Amino acid sequence: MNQQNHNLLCDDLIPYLLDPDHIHQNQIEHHIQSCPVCQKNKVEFEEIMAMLAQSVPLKEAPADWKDDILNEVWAHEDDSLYKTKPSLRPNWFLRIKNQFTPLSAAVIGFLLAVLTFTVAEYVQLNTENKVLQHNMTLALQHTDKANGAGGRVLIMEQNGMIELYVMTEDLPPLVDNQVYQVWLIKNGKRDNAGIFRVNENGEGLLRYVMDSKNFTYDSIGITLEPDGQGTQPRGEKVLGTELNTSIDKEA
Amino acid sequence: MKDKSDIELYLLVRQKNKDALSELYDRYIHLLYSFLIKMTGDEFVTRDIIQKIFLRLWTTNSEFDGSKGKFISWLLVLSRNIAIDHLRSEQRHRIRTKSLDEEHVFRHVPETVERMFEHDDVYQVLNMLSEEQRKLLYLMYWKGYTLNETAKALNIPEGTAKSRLHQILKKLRNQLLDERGQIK
Repeated sequence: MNQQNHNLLCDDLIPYLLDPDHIHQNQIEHHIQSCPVCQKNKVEFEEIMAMLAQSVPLKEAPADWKDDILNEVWAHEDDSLYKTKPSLRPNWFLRIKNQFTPLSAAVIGFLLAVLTFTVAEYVQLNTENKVLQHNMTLALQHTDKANGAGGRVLIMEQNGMIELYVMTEDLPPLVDNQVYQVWLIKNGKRDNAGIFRVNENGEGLLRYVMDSKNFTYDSIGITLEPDGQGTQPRGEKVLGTELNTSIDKEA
Repeated sequence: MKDKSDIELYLLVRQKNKDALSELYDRYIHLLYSFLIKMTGDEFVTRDIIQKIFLRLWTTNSEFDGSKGKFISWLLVLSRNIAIDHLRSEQRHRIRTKSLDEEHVFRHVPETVERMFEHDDVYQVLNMLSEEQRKLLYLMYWKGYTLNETAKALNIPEGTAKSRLHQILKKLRNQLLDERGQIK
């Protein structure tokens, strides 16, 4: 992409944010991924748009809406399940059933039972070795470099991916190029999980996504770094936690 | 659930936790209602839009990324987009007809804007905008007009409308956010 096209897309950011059907929607979304200026502007302009929305005088919504609206949401889900389940089973079940004599069905049934038992054993063995059993919320403990600071780590497993959220509060303010950096630690080896900055209340937020197969870490540490360029810790640790001390598990 | 943060509730909703969605409803229904009733001016339409918002939260793996902004900002942007989709699909003809009737559209705009932001700091900032800028913001933000429709309604070239829009948003940003993008 040449500089002129780049500038045109930057120029279209605000109309795009205000218009969900903007004619260059796909191009601009693609552009934002690679343009740090537009990434920053997008967050700030969305904040402005939210402030406009939040500035209207508050009115109470009718109290009887809640049950109706949420029941319709649940009903929508139940509907979807109802529509797909009954139609599937008879077709494939009958089609498969017609392929087998009683003897071949018995032999295959025996083999399936053996296979199921073996797989169950295998899954159990592997699960015991995994760090992550549930979605977890973990409390971050401060070091003496950040007395009074705290925070939480949320770890969610979905579709084979791990989403890790780090939320902090009361961390000391940053100066110049300083950042806070998150490290995932296994057997003393530290992997960089990203950097974040904090607001005037020491509140910061970081999201990190990785393949769940690789998530076998022992602990998480957060350090105060002179800048965001480090691949190994150079500053002091301010917060951390072990990964096997869940304070609140959600099934 | 009441002690959980927005982001914790959002993550639980993605795990199909009904209590978490119920708590998000309680937390934000009055804000969403107030915002949408101002946008649409119609209680029945507002209810339909709120239904769609919660259905979207529940049924899709929605795209909120906690490292790129606040949950409430994301929810309000999502809500506004759903409202505009709804208005455009349900009332396209009526909106278009009105949009080109400049006298009808603008007769009450300044009054509407003032009433919307009464007793609020945002009102002070909006007062710094010119009348033309306020009309443009009113049409694009609150009524969901496209840039092209806004330019036609204001009888100005589309490039001029875009340039004014940039000036407005930058003025609002300078007045409402500090240099780190935090609310002043």
